[in-house]
Amino acid sequence: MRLLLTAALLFSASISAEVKTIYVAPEMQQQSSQAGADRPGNDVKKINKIKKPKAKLPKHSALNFIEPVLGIEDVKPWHKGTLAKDEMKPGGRMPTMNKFATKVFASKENTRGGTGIGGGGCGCN
Amino acid sequence: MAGVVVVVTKKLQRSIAAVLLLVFSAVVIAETTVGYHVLRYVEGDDRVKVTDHAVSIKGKKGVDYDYSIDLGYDAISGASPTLRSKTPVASDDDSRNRIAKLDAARQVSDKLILGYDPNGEYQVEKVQLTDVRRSINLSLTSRDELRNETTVTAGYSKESDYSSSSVSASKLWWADRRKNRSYTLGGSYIYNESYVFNGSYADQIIDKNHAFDIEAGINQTLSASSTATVSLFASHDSGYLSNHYQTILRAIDVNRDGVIDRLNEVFLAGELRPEERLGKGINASWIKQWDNWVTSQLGYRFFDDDWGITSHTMAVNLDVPFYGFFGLNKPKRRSAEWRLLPAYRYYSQSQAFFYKNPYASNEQALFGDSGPASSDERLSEFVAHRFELGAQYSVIKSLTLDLSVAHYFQENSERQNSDFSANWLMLGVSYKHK
Repeated sequence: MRLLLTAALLFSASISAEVKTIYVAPEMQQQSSQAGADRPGNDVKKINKIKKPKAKLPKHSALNFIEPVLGIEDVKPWHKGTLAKDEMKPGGRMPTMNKFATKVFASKENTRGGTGIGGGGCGCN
Repeated sequence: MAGVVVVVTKKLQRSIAAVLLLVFSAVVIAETTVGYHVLRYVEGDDRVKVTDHAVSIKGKKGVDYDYSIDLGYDAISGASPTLRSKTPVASDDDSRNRIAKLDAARQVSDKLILGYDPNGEYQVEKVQLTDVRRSINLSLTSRDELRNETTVTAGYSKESDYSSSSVSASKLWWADRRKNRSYTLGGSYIYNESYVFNGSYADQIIDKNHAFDIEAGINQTLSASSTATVSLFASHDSGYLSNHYQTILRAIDVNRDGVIDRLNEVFLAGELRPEERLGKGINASWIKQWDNWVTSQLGYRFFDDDWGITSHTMAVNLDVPFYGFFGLNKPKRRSAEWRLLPAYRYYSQSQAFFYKNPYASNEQALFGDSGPASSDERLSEFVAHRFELGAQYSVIKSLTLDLSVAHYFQENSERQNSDFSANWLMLGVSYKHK
């Protein structure tokens, strides 16, 4: 009985959960499409019917040795939920605040430059 | 050359109008965020007041294109401090005598001579000003198959005596398959035109300057909750770089006797900055989210130029959920969160080699008849602090309200209790349409 209740709870939780982002790693796409035919449900079949362009990947960087040497974590794309948040972008969630302040600094101080290029972030687009 | 530049500027304006139309047509079919913000800025000591209205439109076209349009309207009023003659004109004879002295000085000096005080007494006074500035900035980012980004921007602003046109381009390359490191390279060009005094306050001509900037940077993802960016930048300005409203004291040996007569040979003149400026620096920032709760953005910038100005800027910006800050329970509806955004910035700069303090005695503030010269306090040595508290509230998921209050002040022991300070309040609303 307890087992049945736990299973029912888990099932109800899984159908009520809101999945916002689904990332399918390129190396997983092929496996997914091969295994898709064996899975139940229409969604996978629909996905398989869509003609997807072959993903073009950049080559591995010649400077890949830097991260292990410096102890920098190799963050996987599907672990970048936090990095994609507004507060993690340069300028933060309310960039207008810094934009107005920068106008004040530009008119009252004599330093120029160093604020022109963004870049980086989660690379989610 | 001037004709070519005018043609380029007109072409730029037409291009901006064309891009504007394209972007507006795209707005109706793509994800768009529209924002309106208003800033009320008030300087201490009854100086300048500004009301700044800003409209921003940001949109996406799929995952390959981002665009933004920023429109600005600033109304400026108040007064700006500069050196003036202390003795009022007493009579017609006094006025004629002053004009004669000015004419004599202008005959032996090629500098902009603007005033003469028969008692040789000059002091810093506030000069009234009013102006309106309108601006537009456009930006378009496109991504290729490898998700490398190319961004182009164009901007134009106009005041009654000043106009500025700018273009920039930058490129971002992802260095690895996981997109954990990127390299950026960008450059910009700004063309400015201003009405400047030519010989006297009565005569004005249009002068111009050019500003080139280049910046190269690297961004590294350090972990699933932190990134760091380091960039090198350089700038080159040329042309008329002075502020024609700023005045200085010049000693001009009118009678060529090798001696400066304090009463008859000290004049009020326009400031004169070098016609070239080369600057360079490094900027570093680190963004980290702590325990999936508070986010911090730390930044440091070093700048150095050939005018003798070296500056250090340090900034910290925090993003704190309101419920956590005051120990309240997390709201059930995530969109109902208040976010607090405290910020602090420290800035210090050394003075330009051609700066003299206008608050010192007239002798100490006196320049000769040659070389660059300025008494603009923005070229002096000072330390500045900015404290700001921002707050953002999501009324519904697609509608946010923005608010911030700030206090900024400069410290300089030589300004004789005339340290600069300013306060500002910003209110705004943003709506995201999907």
